[in-house]
Amino acid sequence: MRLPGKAHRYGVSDMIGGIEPVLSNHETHPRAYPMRTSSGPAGHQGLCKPSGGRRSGDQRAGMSASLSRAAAALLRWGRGAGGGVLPRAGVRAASSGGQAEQLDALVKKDKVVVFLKGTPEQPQCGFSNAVVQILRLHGVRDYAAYNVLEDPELRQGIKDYSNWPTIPQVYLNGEFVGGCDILLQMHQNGDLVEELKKLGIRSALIDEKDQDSK
Amino acid sequence: MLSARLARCMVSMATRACVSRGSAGSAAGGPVEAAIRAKLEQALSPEVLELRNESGGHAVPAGSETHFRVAVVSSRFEGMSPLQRHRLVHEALSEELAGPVHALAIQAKTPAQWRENPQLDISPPCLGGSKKTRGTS
Repeated sequence: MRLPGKAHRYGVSDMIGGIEPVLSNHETHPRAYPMRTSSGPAGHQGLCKPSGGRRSGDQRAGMSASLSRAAAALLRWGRGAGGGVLPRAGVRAASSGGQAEQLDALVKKDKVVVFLKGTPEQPQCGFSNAVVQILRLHGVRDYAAYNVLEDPELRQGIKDYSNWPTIPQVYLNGEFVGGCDILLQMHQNGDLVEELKKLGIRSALIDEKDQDSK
Repeated sequence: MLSARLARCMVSMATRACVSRGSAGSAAGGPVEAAIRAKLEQALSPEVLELRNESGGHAVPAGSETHFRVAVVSSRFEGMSPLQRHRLVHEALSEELAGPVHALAIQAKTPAQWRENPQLDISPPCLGGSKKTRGTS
């Protein structure tokens, strides 16, 4: 069970054996999208991506957010990624490259990273809850979980970064794995146990299997 | 071979009949559902295509088309990883996913995989419902 008061947002991964080499190749590459290079009208968030349909409401709400909120959001990303990612405190990223770099650092900071609607303790979406339950089944507790409902920029940014249109999203060792359906499939066919083993994480289900075989 | 094909056809028909019966209330389906079906048929030439509108289980108005579950069975998926298969489906439905559809649960299988377990799964309960959540995927 998770320790009380422990921040799930910046979970500390188990760095057994020291820092592992960073993967040189990724199956997923950030997708470029139009980005305003100069500051827009007052209150306009340069990071917002134009989109039609129902999401325009959310984007409109996002665009009306205060500048300080946008700065805080960037700082939040930067904080998760460790010092030095942002050139200056409070300065908004001026290019899509900056955002992609921040997200790249974010997903690589921990061995297991998930982007959810809600928190592991209070998921706000059935699929996000399913991801949390699968990790719990395997005894994975030290993972980083980011609540996209708290941060509209992160919510859209991570979709662009992974070129994957929905939340939740799961990253293992900095590599995008998929959403709820794929994680469930990996859980059912045994792949997840193997992937966790590669990260130096022993799945709790291995013990269950041993007990079953006795 | 003829017998196997007939059996497969019967299983497929039976499954489709069950799904159809389950959604008797909206037998015709709405425009989004029709678009999803048409686009997947065109993009992936599936042997089986099961589509269920699960919006009724979420905090959205009656008759909404925002949450779907789809099983796509296609030879096109041979040799593809789950990630690649799902991306194919996403690409075919990019308009819907950028617009009205908030959630899309995907089962992407080859015909052989589908024959092992030919059924459309059930999605987990919603847990959501806040106004903050409503309106965006």
